[in-house]
Amino acid sequence: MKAQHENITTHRKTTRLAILWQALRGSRALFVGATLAIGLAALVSVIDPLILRYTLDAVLGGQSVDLPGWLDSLLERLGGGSYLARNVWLCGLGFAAAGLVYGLLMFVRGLLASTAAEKTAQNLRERLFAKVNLLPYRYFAKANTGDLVQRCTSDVETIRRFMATQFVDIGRALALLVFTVIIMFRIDRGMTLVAIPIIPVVIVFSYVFFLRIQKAFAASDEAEGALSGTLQEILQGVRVVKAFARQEFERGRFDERNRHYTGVTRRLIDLFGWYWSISGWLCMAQTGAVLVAGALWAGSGRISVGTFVVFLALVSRLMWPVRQLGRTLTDLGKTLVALDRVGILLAEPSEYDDDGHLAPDLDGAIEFDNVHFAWDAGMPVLKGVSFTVAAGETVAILGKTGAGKTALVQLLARLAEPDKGSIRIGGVDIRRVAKRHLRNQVGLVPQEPFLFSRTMTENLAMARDGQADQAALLQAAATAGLSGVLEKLDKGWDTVVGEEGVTLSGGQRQRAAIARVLLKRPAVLVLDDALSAVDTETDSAIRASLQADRGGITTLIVSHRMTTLAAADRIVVLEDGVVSAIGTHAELVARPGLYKRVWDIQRGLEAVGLDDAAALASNPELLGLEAEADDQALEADAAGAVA
Amino acid sequence: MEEVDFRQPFKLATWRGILKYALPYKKSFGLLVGMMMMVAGIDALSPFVTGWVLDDVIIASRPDLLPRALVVYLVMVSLQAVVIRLFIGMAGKIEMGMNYAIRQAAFDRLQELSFSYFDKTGSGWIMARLTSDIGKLADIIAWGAVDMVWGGTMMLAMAGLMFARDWKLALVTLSVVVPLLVVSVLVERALMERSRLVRKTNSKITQAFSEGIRGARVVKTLAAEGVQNRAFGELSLTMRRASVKQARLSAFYLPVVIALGYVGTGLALWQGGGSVLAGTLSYGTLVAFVFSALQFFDPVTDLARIFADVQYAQASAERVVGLIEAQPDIVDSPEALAREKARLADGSAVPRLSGRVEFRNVSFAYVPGLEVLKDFSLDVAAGTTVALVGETGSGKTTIVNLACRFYEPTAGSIRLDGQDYKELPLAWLHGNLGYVLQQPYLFSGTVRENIRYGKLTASDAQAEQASRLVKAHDFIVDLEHGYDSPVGEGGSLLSTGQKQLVSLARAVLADPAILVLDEATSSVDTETERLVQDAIDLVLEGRTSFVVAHRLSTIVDADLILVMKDGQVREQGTHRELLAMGGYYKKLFEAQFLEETEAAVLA
Repeated sequence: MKAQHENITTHRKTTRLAILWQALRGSRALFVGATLAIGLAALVSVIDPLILRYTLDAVLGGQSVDLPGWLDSLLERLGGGSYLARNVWLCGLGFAAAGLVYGLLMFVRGLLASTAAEKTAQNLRERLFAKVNLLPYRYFAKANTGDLVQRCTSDVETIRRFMATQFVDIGRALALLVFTVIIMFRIDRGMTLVAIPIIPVVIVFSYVFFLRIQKAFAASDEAEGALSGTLQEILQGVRVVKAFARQEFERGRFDERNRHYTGVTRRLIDLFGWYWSISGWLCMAQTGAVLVAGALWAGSGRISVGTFVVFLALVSRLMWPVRQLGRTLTDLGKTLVALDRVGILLAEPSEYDDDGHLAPDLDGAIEFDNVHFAWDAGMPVLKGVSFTVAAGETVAILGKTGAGKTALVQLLARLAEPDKGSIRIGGVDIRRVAKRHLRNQVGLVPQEPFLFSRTMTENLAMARDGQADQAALLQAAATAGLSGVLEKLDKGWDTVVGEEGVTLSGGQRQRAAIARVLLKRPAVLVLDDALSAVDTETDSAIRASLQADRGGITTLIVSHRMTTLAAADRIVVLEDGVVSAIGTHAELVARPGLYKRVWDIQRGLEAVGLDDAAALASNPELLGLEAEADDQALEADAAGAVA
Repeated sequence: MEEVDFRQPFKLATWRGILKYALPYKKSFGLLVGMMMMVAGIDALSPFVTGWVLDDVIIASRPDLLPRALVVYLVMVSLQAVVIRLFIGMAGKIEMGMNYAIRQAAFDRLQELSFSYFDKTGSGWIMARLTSDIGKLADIIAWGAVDMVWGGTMMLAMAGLMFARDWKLALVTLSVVVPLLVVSVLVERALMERSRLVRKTNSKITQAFSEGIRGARVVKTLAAEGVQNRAFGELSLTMRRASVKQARLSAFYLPVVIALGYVGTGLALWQGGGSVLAGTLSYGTLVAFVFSALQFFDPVTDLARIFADVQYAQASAERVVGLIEAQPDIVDSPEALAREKARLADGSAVPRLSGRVEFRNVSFAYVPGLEVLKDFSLDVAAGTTVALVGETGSGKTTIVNLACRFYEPTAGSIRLDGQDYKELPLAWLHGNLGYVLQQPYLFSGTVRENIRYGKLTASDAQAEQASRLVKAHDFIVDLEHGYDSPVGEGGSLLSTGQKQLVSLARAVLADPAILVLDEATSSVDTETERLVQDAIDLVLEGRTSFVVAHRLSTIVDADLILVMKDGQVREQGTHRELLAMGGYYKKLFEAQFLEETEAAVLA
């Protein structure tokens, strides 16, 4: 158990790093450059205290200061401390110059790091967006859109922000620590021992704080989630709240959540209060130690005044990045969580992991051969479906709710794969056909179409990779009965629809979706209850124009409408996961079964008259039961006849 | 996402609307300012303490003063630590306190706002105002004050100390402030401009993801991944370009501040060094000046950031104030208010209405000028069941909205028990009203809590009785924790039929004189369907009800049917009368009959 857990942990760590490594493509050199720049900046920032020391001791104090040989000889050539004493401005200039170089390096670091971080974010965003399109069809059945959007936006932003600032700043803290300690040792060993002992304490303290704060952050996030959840619920149920006049009650509920969030977050802030307070005290104590020891030793002449000052300067400069450590670790923790969340999404299996490579013409006969399928293991939907659709034939599919009609047509477009059996078009198993090719040839129109917040032109042209000419658009629109809809829209083809634009009715959307698929000029057209929201007459008209325009194209239509079913060449009836009947309208109404029952309802309405229908309506299942009994009688008759 | 123009001038009135919520924290703010000034003062003082140690202890060779210096330093440092802890707690208190108060005020206003507001305003928009906008404002007010007072005080105190010690040297050292100010103003202005594009593009990216995810299935069936990825690639490139442009400017600003700080320090070293050599300045003072100059510019970038944040936050402030100050369309008239006050003073219950509803020449328009109901009159006797039928969007809910006074007529009047309902307090009407959505909305909580929503004072026995009446009791006791079983968010742990039964029990418990029932379009499984149907009949019995009807049985049994089309009442009468007319109703009925019987077979 434990070993397994460790395995998972290492696995997680490697995927995090792998994701980051890949996202850094194209910006790795920039990050290296930024890290070098900040390392150099750290180096420069220990030089200016040395200038200060030299100025105080050698120039102003007239003492000798041990310098590296080359620098010493350079200064000697100029005239040494006394020359500089006559030209103090040179010291000021040196100090300012160090600052300018430092600033320049910081600029380079900022430029490189933020450019690199933006590039990283761009990589991640594009990978995530492409991934969304690669996810298997069924992934979206259970997907939580809000959470996915969050992974693709705020989690990426968390990573970007960390990479732009703190990622390289970790390098700075380390470089600064190393350079400072080296310089300190070279100047004075004793002072160094006074100047650094509290630093590891601050580091340990920061780490402990980081561990504690995680929980407080989680609690605050959770409380905020609960608050938003309650708010969302109340906003959605606003009618109920108003109608029952329960404003006071809801106010109380909201108040409780609001109070809880406030309290939990205040505790978080208080924790930060302790952190900054204690770490501040520790850092100031470190400076204090330097101040006191330095004063003693400088007073006794063991060290120079310049050394005293330089140690004060170095210590206080070192303290800030050390003190920031708790903050940096906290943000690092958040970034790792964000990387995990992004990583989980990126690690999802891809739709094209299992793809065929053939690209044949798919205008032949379609054969379903003993197809088995289950959305969830153990709950089979299709249990051996076999039938053939001849090239150019129109076949309608009828079945009860949950009979697997949608599964059947999705299998045809390889949006899901059969568990057993195969589907062939023109004799070729569609498993061997490239999915994109298959979907270009098999035009599937789902029941609930989705239109993007773009113009009508753009929405339709999507089907042709964004390139559709005017004539093709007009023709597809005319065939799908969309022309009338377009005329009613303010800007016609340029009208933006979808969420950010004009809201179309369900029927209008369905017509747009059909036109969109027609633009592909598919070899097989599949309508999955795709005209359910238009009225019967429009439905017939659209089917007629489809026939006129694309006559001879193999068509599969899932529908409940008797007019639609009756007009098909043949009808397949799906029941209990198998084909229970198949034949022409005339054949199917002549024998007992589901199709006949549906047909009888329609006829029954004409026969019994509306008044009786009203009586039936008060008790609709009576009719269903009667039909069932009727069937059984007929079936018994049929069995008798055979015997 | 709405575009925000960040160049608009500072609006005092808007900020006053927000700062109102800081008033209860006046004292805390005072303390906070005091503490920040203290922290800043100690920060400003510390270079001079170092200078003093240098001159008076080291150079003057007075190691005996050291213990005293040590004590002073320790006291200063410990005081600083305590104050830091206190001010962070205080700022947190103010931030979260304002956060709480503004959110609660916004929520209270939401509870008062009329339906028209929610029709015009999406819940996503409201959520964003109540969460991120309010958070941003409280943050900037509390922590902005912290940074500003600290930065301002430290710079002023430091400048003061420097000028007091040696005004000429101070003048030279701080001369870099002038170019710094110029650069700051220029950079901030340009940054605002550039960050506008970044924010705009960012919201487009969020939208692209949200749409891309919801539309991913369609993309797949169309094999249109290429178009999608290309379009997103363009957006993503725009984002990177805009961000890099902005980042470049930010990357430039910080180093400029740092470098100018060094230049100032270099100037101090030059001038001060000369004075030290001339014997007119002590070592300690020079060191104090050098350390001060290095520290002086620390707050500059923070201050610049606050100015930018305040400007960004103004848009948030406007939206939040706009929400809090939005006026409900429907409010009690003064007379109605007086009646309600009198009732509350008595402590008596809301008077019970008999349930007679009259529409008198009612006209109504959601959008001024676009009348959807014109001169409509109808007298509904107490206890009548009125069915509203028609296609989606034909105006059925308009009648319901008017009857419930979610909206008021633009002309004409609606009378309850003979008096114009505008004269009645809203609470009286809603106290007599029950509302059952068949796409029922349950609140997360237990079954019992949801039933009791109909009457908060009901006892457990009463709640149980109500659920027995609608035959919900059996399924409830079969749940794992019976009446205490959680229903999940939006009731997701119950089936649709179960949710319907609970919502009916809720309505029965409320025992309203007027009931509004919004039937579901899609049916549930036949078994539950039967239970629900029986429960509905029971609930409708003996009270005035308006039913947005989809089920034939409900329609056929109604006392009166209003047939709606294009916002108008096209036909009205009983089922038989309407059938005999052979008009629109007959067509609707046939279609519905077909659909329902087919559904019964195909379910």
